[in-house]
Amino acid sequence: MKVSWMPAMVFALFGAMFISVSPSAVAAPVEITMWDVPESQVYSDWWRKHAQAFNASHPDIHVTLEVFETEAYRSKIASALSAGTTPEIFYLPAGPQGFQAFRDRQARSLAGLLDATRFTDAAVRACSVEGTLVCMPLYVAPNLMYYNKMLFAASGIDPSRWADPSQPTWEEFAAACDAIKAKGKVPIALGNGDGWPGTMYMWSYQNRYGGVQELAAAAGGKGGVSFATAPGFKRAARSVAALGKSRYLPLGYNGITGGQKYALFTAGNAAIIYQGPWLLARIATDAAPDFKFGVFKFPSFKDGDPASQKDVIGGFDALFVNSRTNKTAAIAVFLNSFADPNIALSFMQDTQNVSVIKSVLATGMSPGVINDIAQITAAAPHISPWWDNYLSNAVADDATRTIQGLFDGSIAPDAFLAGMDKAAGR
Amino acid sequence: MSTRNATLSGWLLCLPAIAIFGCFFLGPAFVGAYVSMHVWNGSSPTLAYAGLRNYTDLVGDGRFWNALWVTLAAFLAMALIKLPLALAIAVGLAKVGRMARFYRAALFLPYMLSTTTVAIIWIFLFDPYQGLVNQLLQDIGLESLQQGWLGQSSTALPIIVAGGVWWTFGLYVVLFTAALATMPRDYYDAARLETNSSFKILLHVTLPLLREQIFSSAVMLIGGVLGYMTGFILLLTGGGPAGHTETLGIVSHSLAFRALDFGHASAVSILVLLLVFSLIIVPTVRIARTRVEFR
Repeated sequence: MKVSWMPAMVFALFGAMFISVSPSAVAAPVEITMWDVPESQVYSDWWRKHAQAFNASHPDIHVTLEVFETEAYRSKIASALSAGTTPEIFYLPAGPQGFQAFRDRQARSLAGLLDATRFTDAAVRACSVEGTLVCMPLYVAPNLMYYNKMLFAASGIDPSRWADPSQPTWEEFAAACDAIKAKGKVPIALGNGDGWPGTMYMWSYQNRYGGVQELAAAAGGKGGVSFATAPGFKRAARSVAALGKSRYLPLGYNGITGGQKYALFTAGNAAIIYQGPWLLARIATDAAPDFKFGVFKFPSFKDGDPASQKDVIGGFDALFVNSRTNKTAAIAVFLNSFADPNIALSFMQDTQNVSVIKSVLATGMSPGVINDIAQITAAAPHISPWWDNYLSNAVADDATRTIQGLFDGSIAPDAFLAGMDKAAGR
Repeated sequence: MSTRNATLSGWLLCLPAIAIFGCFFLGPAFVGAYVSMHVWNGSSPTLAYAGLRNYTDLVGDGRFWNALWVTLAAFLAMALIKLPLALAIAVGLAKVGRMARFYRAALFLPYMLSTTTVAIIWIFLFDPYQGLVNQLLQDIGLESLQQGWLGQSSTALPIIVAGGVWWTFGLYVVLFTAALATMPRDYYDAARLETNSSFKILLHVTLPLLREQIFSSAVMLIGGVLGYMTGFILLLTGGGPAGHTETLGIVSHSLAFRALDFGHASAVSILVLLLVFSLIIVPTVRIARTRVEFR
């Protein structure tokens, strides 16, 4: 019998295709990719270990972690969102860019995916858009002033003598800076090459002078309020300009960027730094073993807004889920594992970030600076939001870009605020 | 082969290059031009038509003009330092003899370094507290001259230009050296009958014969200031302090990836494209028409 080679070939081809798509004895795991930024080395290490442990305990799911340098990630995620190539899970602050991605259907709602009851109410609110949960909060990052205890002692400053040891008045703070300067040291470790460390001062001054209500009014442009006309903003801009002229800042502060801005503090070149808790990991890895430090809140002002003097400035970082993925069941298992009490506790202890998981905060943890920070944050009447988590990208970018000029005097306070209004389209 | 067949073969041979140029250069340029006439945040599935508004906004924006000035200043400074320096070294190397290869390789070495590596070297040099330059000034008792080099408007751009020159001028040395090596000695022999002045020979023989390389170098410099220098500046100063090192490339990057304003960012890119095109098209055509080939 003569057998044509063509039917045999077709049969073999279909057979091969059938074998390749038929379920094997062990199904291939669901592949999930997560993009993250290395907030610190210990933070990246924790996520790697968590992903490894999760993969080991869930053979049907495989999570791949991809970590990108923070500044490069800004470009990376914007490009990916424009091209529709974001992975299943991606990092973004709980702010305008992520929320816009949700509105543009690039990120999906987490309702039904994430057990929101395990997260603090403030964190859930921070991750919600018009009542819909759109991201998983990772931690809250309050800005506090970290101080070098040895430099303070050498300058004769004892925070316990302040009326409120957890928060000096501006006069007490300025006296401390003068004393440090008199000893030949730099009082404030401001490395403003990236712009955002300087904006923290602007946010905080505005909070103390005008409070969260004024911030909301100016951001919304309601009732004729603008950045340039709001009294708290005007006074804050003038205060930043005055701080720039003071002798409290390091040489060439507008050119100190990247890790160098932390090194000013961890190497003992400057006594005070205003940063978020990510600094703790830097201190742990970069500072000398006998480096001793404490924290206090941004100073209060007697003539400021009484309702905001005890506020903390802070923001929430978060994870968003790609709207195009159909792996939602596996993603839900992975995201909810983060809220496991033991895992959440290890996250707070290992990465030195303030957890947003209720069980961890209710139980408390061993004494330490991160616990102090958690307590200070919990006691604050408001967490006034970071501007780059709150204002539109255009306004936040304008403020971050022009703050260097406000500090060095090349941009006048009124011009700085007018620029923000212009960026807001007013 | 008929003329028609020859033409067809020519087009077929050019097709891969045209396809690559179309896909990776012309295509993106057209997409950029399209986006530049729209309002787009980069993630929205729809783009809102804006006509020429993004362009008129830029014309009235001081930031754009400042960046244009910084870009031109950086280009001119690099061109005025780098090209004469590279040419002088190339002419010098032609007379060194056996060691020329070693010096050429040594000078070319920085060009092999990545943007990040060069930026790190520059930070190690010019960091106000841990940088080598300020440490050196302190060690020799000149503390009063210590500066915040990259954080001051007066020093930031010169320091960046110096970095750009050190990083890439080896490439131009190699270009000029290669061109000098191919020049026939007849021209020089003839010139020496007229004058013994090396400077005059350089001016009237070497430079005219090198005009193609000099022009190519200038074009590469424009590309460099708008290209690899953007990454270098982003790593060193991010365009600061207060916009004093902000080139058009950084403005475009910032508008796209910080402000998420892809319309204005694309408009900047298109204007840059037109600017570069207008700067190089006339000399390119002229040089092509009067090209000198040595046989």
